[in-house]
Amino acid sequence: MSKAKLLIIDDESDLVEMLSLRLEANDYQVISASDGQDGLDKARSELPDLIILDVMLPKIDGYKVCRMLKFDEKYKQIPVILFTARTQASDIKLGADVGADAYITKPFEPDILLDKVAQLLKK
Amino acid sequence: MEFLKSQMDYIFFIYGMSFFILASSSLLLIRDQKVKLPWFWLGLFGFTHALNEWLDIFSISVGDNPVFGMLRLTVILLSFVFLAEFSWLSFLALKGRPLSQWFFIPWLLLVYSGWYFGKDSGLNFTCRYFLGFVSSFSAGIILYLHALKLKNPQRRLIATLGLFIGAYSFTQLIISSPPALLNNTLLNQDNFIRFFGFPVQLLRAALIMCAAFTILTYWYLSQGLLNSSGLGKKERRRVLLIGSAYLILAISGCLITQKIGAYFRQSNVDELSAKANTVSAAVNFRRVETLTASAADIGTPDYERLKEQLKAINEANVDLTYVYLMRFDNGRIVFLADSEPDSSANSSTPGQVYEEASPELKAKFLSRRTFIVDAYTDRWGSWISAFAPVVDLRNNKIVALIGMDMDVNIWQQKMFLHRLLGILISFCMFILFFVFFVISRINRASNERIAVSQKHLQTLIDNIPSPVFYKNTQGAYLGCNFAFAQFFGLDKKAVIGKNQFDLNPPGIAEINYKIDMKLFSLPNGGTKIYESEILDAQGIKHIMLLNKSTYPGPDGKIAGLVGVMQDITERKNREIRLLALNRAVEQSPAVVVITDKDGNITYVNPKFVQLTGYGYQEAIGKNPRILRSEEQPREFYKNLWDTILAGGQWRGEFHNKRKDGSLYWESASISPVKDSKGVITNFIAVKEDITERKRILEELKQKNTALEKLDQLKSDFVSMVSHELRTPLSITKEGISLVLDGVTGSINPKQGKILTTSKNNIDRLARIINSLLDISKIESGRVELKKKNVDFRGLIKNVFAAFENKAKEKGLELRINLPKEQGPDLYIDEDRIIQVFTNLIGNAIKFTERGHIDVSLAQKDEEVEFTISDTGIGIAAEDLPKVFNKFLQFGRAAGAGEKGTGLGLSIAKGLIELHRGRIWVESGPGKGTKFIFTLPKYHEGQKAREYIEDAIEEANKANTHLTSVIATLAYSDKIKSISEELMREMEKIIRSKLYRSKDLVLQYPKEFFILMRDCGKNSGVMVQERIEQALRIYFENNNLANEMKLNFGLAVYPDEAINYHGLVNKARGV
Repeated sequence: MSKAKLLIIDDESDLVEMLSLRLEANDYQVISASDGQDGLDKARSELPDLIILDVMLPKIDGYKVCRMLKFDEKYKQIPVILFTARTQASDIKLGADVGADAYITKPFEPDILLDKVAQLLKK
Repeated sequence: MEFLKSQMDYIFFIYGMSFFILASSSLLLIRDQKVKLPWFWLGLFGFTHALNEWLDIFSISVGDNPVFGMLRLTVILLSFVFLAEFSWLSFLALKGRPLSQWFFIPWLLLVYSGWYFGKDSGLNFTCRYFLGFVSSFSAGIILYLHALKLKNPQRRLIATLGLFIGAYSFTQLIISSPPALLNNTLLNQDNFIRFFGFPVQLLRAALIMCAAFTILTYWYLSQGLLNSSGLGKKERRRVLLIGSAYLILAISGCLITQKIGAYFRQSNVDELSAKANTVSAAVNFRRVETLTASAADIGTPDYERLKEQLKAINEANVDLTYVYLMRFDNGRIVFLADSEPDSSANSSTPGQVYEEASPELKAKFLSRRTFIVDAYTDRWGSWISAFAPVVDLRNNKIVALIGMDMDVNIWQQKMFLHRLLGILISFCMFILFFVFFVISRINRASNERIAVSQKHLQTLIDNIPSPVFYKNTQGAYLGCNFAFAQFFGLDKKAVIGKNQFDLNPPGIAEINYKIDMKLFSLPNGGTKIYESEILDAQGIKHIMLLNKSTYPGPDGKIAGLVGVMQDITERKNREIRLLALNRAVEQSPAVVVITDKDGNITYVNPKFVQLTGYGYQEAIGKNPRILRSEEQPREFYKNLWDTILAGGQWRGEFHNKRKDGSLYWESASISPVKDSKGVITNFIAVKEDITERKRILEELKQKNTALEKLDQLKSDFVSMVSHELRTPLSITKEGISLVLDGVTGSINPKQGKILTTSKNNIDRLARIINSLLDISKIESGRVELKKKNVDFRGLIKNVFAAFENKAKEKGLELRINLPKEQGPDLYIDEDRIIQVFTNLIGNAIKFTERGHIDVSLAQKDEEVEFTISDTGIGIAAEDLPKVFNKFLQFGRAAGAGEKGTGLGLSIAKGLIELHRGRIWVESGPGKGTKFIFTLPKYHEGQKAREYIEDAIEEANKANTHLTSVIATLAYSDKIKSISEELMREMEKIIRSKLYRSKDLVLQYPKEFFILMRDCGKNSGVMVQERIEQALRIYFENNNLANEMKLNFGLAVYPDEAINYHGLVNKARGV
């Protein structure tokens, strides 16, 4: 079985580095983008199996990216995990509105993240 | 008949009297309103005719002479003229047009013609026939016809009067010396008396008396002295008395006259007899004896001597006609000599037999006594004669008889003359009686009038609602009206005789007394009007306006005074109130403007002047539009006028212009003033200068906006900060985890330990950051609670599960106490409440070494109370108040386990209070600690708040008004609870009065929230009033009005409140 391809879209390079280490240690393939536009492009071109999407992104913010992907027939089946420090009810709601499949808050428990990823990939 | 003839003089008296009575009765009727006939003229007729008849007495008594006859004729003519006048005026009254004057001329001519035809008697005849008969007959007919025209029951009497006068007219035709034609008919007094046995005057008198009686009866009836049952007892008696008196008078008069007549007759008889005796004694009997009673005596000296003597005696006695000597010879009475000269036709020759001598005369002849022979007739006439014997003194033989004849008429006249005295006495008696009667009648009438007028006066003053009284100059009350008596709590009669000091306390009485005396002392009397305090029967003080006037008595001097009291207490009170109100308006800090119905100013108060700069005189008459700045649209003013012209009240704000041009804002309330018919007469505006207020509000709004912006900024800041802080934390933590998890390679235990420590502290940092953010959010109200119905049992069980192990690890028992009954749900943010439990139970475990931790709950009415109690070290008293403060921790002695942040309790408090619950602590050193908090039970009201807050949001965004009305139900103790049905019914009624679909009504317990979007204060007030009325009617119809009441409050966003709490509190009236 080939490794699942995960796309991390986050402008925190340190975080992306940590995350990648973790994920690769768990047998995932990781690609990343550091802004919204890049993220979109990579999503469309790479067609990952899952997207981990930070909300606060330059160029195009995470919500928009999510929406654009989710409202596009070609990409909507890709599960998206929204990844953010914002925990307001409105933020969560917004997340749901744009079609995110999961929502993880920072700082995160690695186990939780891994569980969610596995869960979503199983579908 | 003869007797009546001899009573003629008295009969004339009675006859005259009856006319007199007729005349007097007629005069009574002058004032009669019902039959407006010229009674005055009838009266005049009566009086003059009475005079005529009484003059007739004189003609009988004293004898007639032409001058006297003319006088009488004139009088009678006059009386008939009066009667004619009566007829003529009655005709006028009857027909409305006068009888032609030509009617009377022929009659008058006829009357005058009498003179030509027969002098006195002719005139008498024509007078009586043509004037007397005609006038009385016409009077009778007119009266009768008039009676037919009348409607009242008394008309029969008028008709009867007519009949009597008509009958009387016929008796006029029977006169004393008619012309030759009528000599042998009944139309002759003498024939009448011969035929009927009584003189016609008696008949006339009777008819006139009947006429007079008829008039009197009529007068009695019209005076109301007779009622349907006939005369009133008193009147009946009086009439009887008068009638009898009159009868007695008449009869006694007759008797007196008779007696006097008889007396004088007797004296005359005696006189005559005495005369006869004297004459007989004077005659020389010897000479008489020489007479042979034959023609041979003529020429003899004895004869001549005797004749001369007789003549002399006759001449000496004027009233004697003949004096003669007679002798009884062979059964016949013969004349010897008489006083007539031989040549006279009346003389008797000696020896002439007196053939007419009756046997009685003959018998008497021989009786040797002087005797009178009364009223006999012989060939010489009718005589009364006295006979006296001439006695021969020598042998006492009767030689002859002296006879003296007096003409019967002369004798009668003498008698009548003497009777005149009697008649005069009767006349005086009658007049006296009449005068007495009249005086007593007048007296009685005047008394009655006084009584009636007094009765009227009493009725009049009794009808006056103000107390009225009158008193005499001594100050004693003579009378009063009902109101006066009632005021002092007395009977009307009881007041009479009392004075000032009996009715009033000394102070008041003294003042009034002085005023009374002052008035009485004024020469022409006077009036005084003054105010006085008077105590009434209950002792209550009334301020009275007293009006006192003196009145004069019949002698012109002051007899007393009349007073009227007017209770002006109420008026005075009203004056005071009015004054106070006036002052209130004058001194009001609010501007008051009053206009007439066309909007022109009629009054402004000083505040207006102060605010607008327009003086009082400047403002009067002007229209308030002089204050208009051009800032407000025409529709605004149109709406104002439409509202107030329709009779409603308008509230709003004006942006007005002062006289100097500067602008200001005022909040105004304008209402119409209506009169009793509901017609608008004025408008009143009460205004308040709100320029300052508006400025402040504007500032506030700006500041608020700024604050909100700031708030938003803070929110963003916090979000940003939290993101910024968390990101490096995440990275660091992940980095450490990676190494710890061996992803980068293996590590030694020591490295592991250090790394683990680091990781734990990262976590701690994260927790602090979370708590800080939390508390920051809570304090700035930016926490959104995600509320839903939560079953608290489940909640507790979850919490229990979470901490069970922890407690066990420390050797503590964690106990849960749940009540048996199924409780209601809690409407809470589950996660947050779990957070609270976590914090409290965590603390409990931390600070307890041994024992147990209890979690229990109790249900209250509106809330559920949770208690977390432990058997730990407790909290010192001085620390208790600071327990919920930030960053304070006590007893850090507790070792292993998570270190606290010092924020947990303040977060817990914030969260609980956000749920509208309460939290507090009970503890003491070594006594363990109890934390108690309450959470409200779920009810519909929670939803309402969301609605309201949404509506506020909307109004804010659309810049419209939001009006909220809260109706709070208040009910008496009699009602235990309000049924759901009732609440629903009331909600339905409220709903029915909200005409727009965007208006809502929401139920709270015992409250209704009515939310009207895009609705300003005026409309809101109108809707509120509508609802109020509808519910009031509902309560009344269901007999709830005494037990229940709804209190209404209104609040407008944003004018009066800017958030949910503000709105609700204002509307609740808090």
